[in-house]
Amino acid sequence: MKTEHAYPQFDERSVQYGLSTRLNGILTRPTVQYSATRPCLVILNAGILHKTGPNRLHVRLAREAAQNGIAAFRFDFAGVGDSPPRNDGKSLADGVLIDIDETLDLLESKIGAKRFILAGLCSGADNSLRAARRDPRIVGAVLLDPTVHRTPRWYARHYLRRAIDSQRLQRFFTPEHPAWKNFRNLRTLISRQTQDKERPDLFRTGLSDKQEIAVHIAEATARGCRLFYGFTGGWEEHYNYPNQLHELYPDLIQPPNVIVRHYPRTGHTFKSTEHRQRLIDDLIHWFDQVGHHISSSRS
Amino acid sequence: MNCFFMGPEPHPLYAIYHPPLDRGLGGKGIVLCNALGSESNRSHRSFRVLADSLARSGWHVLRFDYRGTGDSSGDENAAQMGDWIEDIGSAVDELCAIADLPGAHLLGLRLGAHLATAVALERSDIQGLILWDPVENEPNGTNPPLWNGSVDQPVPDDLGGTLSTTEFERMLIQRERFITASGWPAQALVIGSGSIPRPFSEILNRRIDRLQIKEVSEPPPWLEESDFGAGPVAANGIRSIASWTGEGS
Repeated sequence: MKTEHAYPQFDERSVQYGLSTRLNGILTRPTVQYSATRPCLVILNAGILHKTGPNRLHVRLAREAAQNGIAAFRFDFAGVGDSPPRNDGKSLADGVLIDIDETLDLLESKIGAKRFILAGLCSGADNSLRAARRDPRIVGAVLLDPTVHRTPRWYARHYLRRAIDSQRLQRFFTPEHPAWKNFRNLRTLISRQTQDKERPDLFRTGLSDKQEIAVHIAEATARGCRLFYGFTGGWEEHYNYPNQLHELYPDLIQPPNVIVRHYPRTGHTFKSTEHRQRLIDDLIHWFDQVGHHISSSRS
Repeated sequence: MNCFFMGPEPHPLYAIYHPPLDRGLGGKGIVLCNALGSESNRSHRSFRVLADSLARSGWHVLRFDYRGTGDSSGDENAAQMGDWIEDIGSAVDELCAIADLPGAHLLGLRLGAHLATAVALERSDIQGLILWDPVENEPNGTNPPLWNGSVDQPVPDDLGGTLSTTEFERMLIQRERFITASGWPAQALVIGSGSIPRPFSEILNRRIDRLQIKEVSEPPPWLEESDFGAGPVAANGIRSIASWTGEGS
């Protein structure tokens, strides 16, 4: 049994660690150009999906980061993927932050990393922001499809798009339209609501209040943490135009502290190879910017 | 539970070994062979729960990711069926070495069932076979989809590029060879999350001495439960497998 293997430009190591729960993670480390002064990338679970991420997004991101000289670590929260559930009695929301703390402690002691960039999709994005607010070691956070609130313009675009969709309009006046079907079948409606209530708890560790999110962004950026927001077309039910986040938080969403990318053709789980690659290219470029920012603020 | 990399250096595979928690049954081992593509991600929770359950009953259990999938090495677009069959062989060797066993059982889910069958027909140390919702093609042997709902393969882009159309077709052709092949393990269990087509079970009945077919009524673990990318934990399927493996298989 071996815990590591080597590629030409990086090696991967399976790591088991954690004081409160035995967490499982994989460290992907560059074999060349590595410097502990560069921030280390830590990738969080997206909901209850294990550490490979949807369509192996996390695996590819970690390996490409390592090929560019950045150490990357992806792991499973307690009770997700290959990590056993916690038994220290902590709530899920607190447990996630404890797991992140212990992960950063591990990386500090194991590879000498002092600065970190967290990355997460969906609930992973919210958890990244929650951690970034409180831990000064976190110098950057990648927030992909996080909790976001609708604006008046969102509604305008949403309903305008529906209105000009003539096929949709035609369908509305047929008995097959879901609105009429649902009206006839109340059970469907009830079951949909039940299904929503039965969503796994990890979806509930995120942020829900607009003001609370503003406080998190303000406090994280005030101490120099940079934020990369990415919104996909799969998140259209919440975010449907590039400037929406800026309109929600006009004082806070200012480059270079916060940058926003909109990927309207990309699905929420990055199914397409091309879409994954585009995101990764953007992120690698942004990691470099964060690295330069840290070096310049130190000197 | 121990996580590690195994197999030869050019293609190391990520594996998770669940040691037995109760040694009452003696030394028996089982390798779990994943489904492919999105189905693998969705069924990860069920495999984890199944592995824990079997370990509690005294089994040595090894889960692993084929090359180019999950946490294993390799690019998702490069791996081929022959590689995955080889990977299952490496996993059996690894488990036998860890637990000092003369052979092992194989469990395969969906297309993983095809791969497990291919290995079982090649090797004499496969002691039993569990096929869970194996993909079945149409009676005319042409196109999927198939038994137990549609397979959302093969569309590389939609799957994260896990399986090419050619590879998928090759697997189904391979299946045609399986059903006429000799060398099947003496005992097998077929689990279906829905009804199992009679021609399929009749074919297996003719080839396997001790065959049990179990239909369980529940949503399959490899289908997305809601819109969050994971499947349900298949409690009935897991219970049936635990029961079969506990009956002295």
